[in-house]
Amino acid sequence: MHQIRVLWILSLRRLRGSLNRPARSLALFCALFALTGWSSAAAAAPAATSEYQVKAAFLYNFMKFVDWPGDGLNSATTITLGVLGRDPFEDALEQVKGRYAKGRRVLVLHFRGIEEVKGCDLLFICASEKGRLPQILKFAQNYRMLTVADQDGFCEAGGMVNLVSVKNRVGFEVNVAAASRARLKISSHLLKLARSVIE
Amino acid sequence: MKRGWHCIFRLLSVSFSVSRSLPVQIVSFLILVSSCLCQAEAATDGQDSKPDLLEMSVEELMSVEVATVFGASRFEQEVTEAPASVSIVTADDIRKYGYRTLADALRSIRGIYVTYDRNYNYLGVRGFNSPGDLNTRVLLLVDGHRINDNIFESAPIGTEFPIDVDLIQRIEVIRGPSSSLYGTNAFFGVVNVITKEPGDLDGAQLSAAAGGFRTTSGRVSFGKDYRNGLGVLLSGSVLQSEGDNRLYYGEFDTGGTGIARDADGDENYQLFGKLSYRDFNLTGALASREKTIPTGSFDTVFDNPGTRTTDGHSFLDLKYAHSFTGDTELALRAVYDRYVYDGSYLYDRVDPGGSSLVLNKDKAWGYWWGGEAQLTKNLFDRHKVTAGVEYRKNSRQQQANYDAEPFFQYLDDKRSSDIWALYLQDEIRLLDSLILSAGLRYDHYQSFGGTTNPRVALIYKPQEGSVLKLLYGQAFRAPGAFEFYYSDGGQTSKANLELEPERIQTFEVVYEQYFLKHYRSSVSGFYYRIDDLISQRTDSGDGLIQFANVDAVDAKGVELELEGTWANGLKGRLSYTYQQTEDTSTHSTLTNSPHHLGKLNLLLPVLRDTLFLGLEQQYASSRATRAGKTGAAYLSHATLSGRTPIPGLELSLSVYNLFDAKYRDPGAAEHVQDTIEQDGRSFRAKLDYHF
Repeated sequence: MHQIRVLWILSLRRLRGSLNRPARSLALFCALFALTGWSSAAAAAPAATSEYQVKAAFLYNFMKFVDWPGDGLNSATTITLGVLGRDPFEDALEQVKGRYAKGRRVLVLHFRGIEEVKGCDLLFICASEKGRLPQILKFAQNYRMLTVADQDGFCEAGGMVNLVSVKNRVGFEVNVAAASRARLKISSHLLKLARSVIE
Repeated sequence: MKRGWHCIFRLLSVSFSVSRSLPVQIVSFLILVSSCLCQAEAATDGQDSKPDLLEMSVEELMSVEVATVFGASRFEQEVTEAPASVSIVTADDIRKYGYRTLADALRSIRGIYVTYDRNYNYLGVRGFNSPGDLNTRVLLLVDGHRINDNIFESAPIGTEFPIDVDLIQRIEVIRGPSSSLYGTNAFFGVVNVITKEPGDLDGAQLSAAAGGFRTTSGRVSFGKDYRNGLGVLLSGSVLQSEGDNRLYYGEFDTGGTGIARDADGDENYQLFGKLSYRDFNLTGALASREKTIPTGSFDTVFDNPGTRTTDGHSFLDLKYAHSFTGDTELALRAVYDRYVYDGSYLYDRVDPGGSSLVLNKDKAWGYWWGGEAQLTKNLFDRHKVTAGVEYRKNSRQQQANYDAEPFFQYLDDKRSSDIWALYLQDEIRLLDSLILSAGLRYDHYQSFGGTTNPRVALIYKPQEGSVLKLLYGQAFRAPGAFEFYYSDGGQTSKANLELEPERIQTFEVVYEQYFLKHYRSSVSGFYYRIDDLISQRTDSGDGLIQFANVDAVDAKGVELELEGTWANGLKGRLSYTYQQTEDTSTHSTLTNSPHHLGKLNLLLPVLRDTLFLGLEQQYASSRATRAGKTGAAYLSHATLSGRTPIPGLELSLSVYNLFDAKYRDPGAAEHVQDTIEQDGRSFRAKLDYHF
């Protein structure tokens, strides 16, 4: 880095006098942009946030703020996030994998059909499964799974948490009745932030 | 620590060696310091490779903005999948780059250039910016509401734009023909200005600014989302500017001084309100702006502040939007708009008894109301179909022109007309990585009949992070009341009732690539052909001027853009456009059409989350004028913005045209001047208080 900085300063000295003022200021800004870009490349930070990166962060938070029955007695070391259908997250869930929620390590599994689903704590139902929603939710009732989706009418249809995006921001709706039926307790902190709550 | 100070001294010496001009030295020093800070940050942040999102609380997550576009296909859609090339300017950009008007914000966008003649701002897209043309070929929307008036079809982008820039949440510039969805004016593109929601203000705001050319402005706003679902937003702004009160024009330096004194004044007021309740949204705006004209245009008396124009835009918009289960969305809209134009032009009419000043009044009233219904439905898992119907009744299209004293009426034309339209668009996901978007709209005008305009787009994502778009579209621009009916009673001009709409066909290829987690690059090419372009023509028979469909234009261009974003707030954008426009009959390049455009935007966090430095560099190559050409224009702006120690108080300091560059914009047929000199360096200080 130090080497590049010195070279840049020297080249700037040579530039003075050979270019006119406007071109020089343009050269200064371009050089600076390239330089700061180079030096900041080390910081592995995300680019402009995509919708699914934010939604993946929401799923991570849901795992933290929902209580599953027998949580206190349960000595499970992992908590499983299942994705049912055509995955829209791309690599956004990679960041969540391996993190810890309530002291348990997050696992991510993918499923093609609802019959395959087992051992999930949170099930995200992709938009591709829209047509099969009633069957999926009926099946899910037998298991203590938090059902989450980002489809219109999901909560009205019996799903527990629905991610909604309105004017570039992501929020969520909650169906508390559906969650209670599966003996899941959604923290009041989360309920207060929900855009709408169905009792 | 010692190395740190040594570093600072070296930076100071570099800054001073770059230029002798103090502003440049200050700016270079700040740049170098912040780049050092960024490097230091990078060194410490480098170990932590986990994204910030997972560290955020739920409340913070709910306020993160994701990049979606609303206008390109009339529904929320990720920028990469929109069937058009889109650029976005956010509220954050507006604040950190110190944009004063919509025109300032548009100037920073790839491929766009704005020219000014000390009366109106003119928007140039894809090399087309005919001097004196009133932005009729770009559709301007506010939250999807059409702003282009029904007299001149003009898009107000300067101080006459009805919304205060502080109330803008984001600006979407959707390039390309969009008549397949929006109808007339969506010729070169659509500019959709999305305003803030009551929740975005969350309280009351006071703003005050003072700047160069004796400019002062103030704003009071209030916005809040209530528990019961009601949202209220109210805002009022005023602006007053003396402008450049000593403007020299050599063309008028005949015996006198050639200086127009106190003739560049600009003042406006903007009132805005929003009421939202569940699925309903009511928006209202009332704004008016008066500009004094110093250039002696239209043969008016020079150096007399009596020549001025007032433009008033106001509207009421009621929208109902509901999502039904089964993936159906319904949107209904009812609108009422009023546009009022009042021009005062001072003439020197030489009478037998000596010369006398005569005030000529040029006025127009454009009222319209209408409605729109739109249905979006997901079908068969792969189709997203949008269908809509629109009706617009131009209840008053009146143009008048008269001398005040002695009274003589040259023109009093009153019309009314209506338009109805049907449109359909289908977005088909052929494969996981391939989308085909096809749309068609039929518009029926009482004046010239019907026109059908299609648009087809193929969007291919070969792998994550790459997008290839192939686009073809047709668009039209209906002649305005001004072109159909304006005449001064047969003295110099006459009407033309046989006008047909202008037509454009555009081919575009866009390739976007996201890489190295921070960068977005895009390469695009376009070709368009305009037919039946409306221009003023002198009728050989009676020598009168009238508008006619006489011209055709061919144009092509290539654009490159590179954008970078980092977590610490550092952002940069660099773009270059090469474009070539040609009048097909004369084979000459159009006037006011630069071959090259360059833009650089740099946002540097000087003190993380507290102080930011926004720098802009804009370049336009030489442009042909009516009688010659302008030189190249280099324009630099710098804004320092941030929080103050007082909670809720924010300050911004801006320098516009940092290097006091002398640059000129081409004049139009109404100007004696071939080129009009633009403003030199000016400053602005702005305080915003939120409580």
